[in-house]
Amino acid sequence: MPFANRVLVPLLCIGLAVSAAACAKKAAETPSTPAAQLSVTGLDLGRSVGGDKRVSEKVSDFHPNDVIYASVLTSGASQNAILRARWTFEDGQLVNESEQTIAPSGDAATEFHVSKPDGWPVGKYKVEVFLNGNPAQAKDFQVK
Amino acid sequence: MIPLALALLPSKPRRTLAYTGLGCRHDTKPQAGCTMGLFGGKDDKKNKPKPDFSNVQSGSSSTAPGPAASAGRTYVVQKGDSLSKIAKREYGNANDWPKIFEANRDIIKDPDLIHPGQTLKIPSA
Repeated sequence: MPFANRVLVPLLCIGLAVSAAACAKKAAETPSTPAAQLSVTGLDLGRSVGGDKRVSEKVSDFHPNDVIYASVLTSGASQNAILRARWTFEDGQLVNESEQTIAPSGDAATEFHVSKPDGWPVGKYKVEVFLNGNPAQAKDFQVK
Repeated sequence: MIPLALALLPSKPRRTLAYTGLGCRHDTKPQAGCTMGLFGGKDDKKNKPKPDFSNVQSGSSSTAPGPAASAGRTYVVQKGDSLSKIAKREYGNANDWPKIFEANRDIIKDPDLIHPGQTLKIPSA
């Protein structure tokens, strides 16, 4: 065997082996199914919620003496996420704002509810939902 | 003569200059303690008092656990404790003791036998 072959062939083999090992290590380090990032997938309004925190009947028109529920559906996981519901009246007058801190490991539902003992003024309202401070979903409704 | 179609159109609210204020007559004659102001049109809508939402009550709940619950709490067993007593203290219901037992199978072999000083994991309710 010529000198070049005696030296180059083993070097080439070593190089290939190192490359293959590096690729294998990289593959092992990459998680096959990364945890899905938390996102808001739905926002429903209603007059009541069940044990699953979802509204029993979706409505967008309420009566002055109703308790108004907003059910926020989320998907994905998080160890610490803040959902905020902001309720406003007509030209943006703040009605109420509240937060719920959650640590879901999968699909979840979070309900926010508001009531007014002396009755809601008739008019147009809006509820906006924020996830970690970022606008996620919004819905308009009316009190008639 | 005004055409019929034009006569049926809703008239635009007119804004008139007149004296304003509590107890003032709404006319253009000078009145003591009254000031001139605009009536009608958009100005009346702007002056509409805003509703008071200070007594709105609110609440929230979720199917997802809170961060503290998911992180898991612990409890150090005291003399005289039982799983039922701990469940009553942690969850408000003594019948929830199996939750604590299941979460601590690795250190509790018999649910009737726990020892002071043992650190138990308290799962979320």
